[in-house]
Amino acid sequence: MSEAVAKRGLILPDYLELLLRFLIGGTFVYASLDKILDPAAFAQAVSHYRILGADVLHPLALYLPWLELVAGLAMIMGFARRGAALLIALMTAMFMAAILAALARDLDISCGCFHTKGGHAVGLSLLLRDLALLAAAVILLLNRGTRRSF
Amino acid sequence: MTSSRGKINLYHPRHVLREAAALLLATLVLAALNWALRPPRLPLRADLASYELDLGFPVTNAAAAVALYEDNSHIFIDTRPADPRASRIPGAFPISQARFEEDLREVYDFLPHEDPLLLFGDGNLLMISAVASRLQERGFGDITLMSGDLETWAGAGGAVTDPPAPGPETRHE
Repeated sequence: MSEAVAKRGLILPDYLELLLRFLIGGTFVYASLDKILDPAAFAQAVSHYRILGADVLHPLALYLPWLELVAGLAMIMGFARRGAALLIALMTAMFMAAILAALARDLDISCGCFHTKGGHAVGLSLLLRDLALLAAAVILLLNRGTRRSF
Repeated sequence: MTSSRGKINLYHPRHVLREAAALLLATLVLAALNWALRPPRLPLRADLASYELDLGFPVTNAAAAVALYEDNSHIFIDTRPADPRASRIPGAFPISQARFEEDLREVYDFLPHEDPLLLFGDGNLLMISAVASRLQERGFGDITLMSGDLETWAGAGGAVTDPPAPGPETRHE
């Protein structure tokens, strides 16, 4: 790799960048809706992980779905998209840590990822899905393409 | 942060962090506005005891229940054993675990199956959830339990009346 290419960093074709942005942004927007409409049910789903204390559980249940929505919309619209990619990568890493913690303690719970009631059980398939999301977010974070919005 | 030609470098880590901080701040404003303007408000401090029990029904606290009562969005069900000296929530129908069949028969015509129910009692969520389960078996699908008792309810600003009216018709407003 020449020095110029190394300095330029990763450059995705425009169509691929757009596809990834819509895929990740759409996923996060969709994931946020049910939680925003019913924060109490989302808090209950999060409480099943048995990680958060009484002071943190509800503020997180009230804030996190909105962060998913804002970051997802920013990603789709191309507004502050690297900041959005960073936040999405951090959120996804946090979700993966929570899933790993649940698996390590043999908790038989639903993930609360897209729907506050029911949904996928916590397992390795969820980890793989989140790993794919994390990889896509990191690629978009590192991408130096020229496309600014649509 | 800027290139040699004076343009803002969008790829600089500091710029990315600024974008992330702006999104975090915008989110904080939106979430706070939503919390403030859209009742019932989830209390900022969680009652973990209610989450520890796997009751199978959503649990709400007294303050949120008062908001539901004032919105007239739920039918309130009093699951405490009948006690003529006890205070009551105006309009609540009595259905206790001990007299479930008789109580339900008396108030059945006043309980549309599609209407959401809010069950309260003397603070024992397991006892309240037992009544909730039996109501669910009878086809009532939207059931919420209130944590705390009538003192908690009154402390949150909920209406309380005593002595009770004699029949369910007169208890329901």
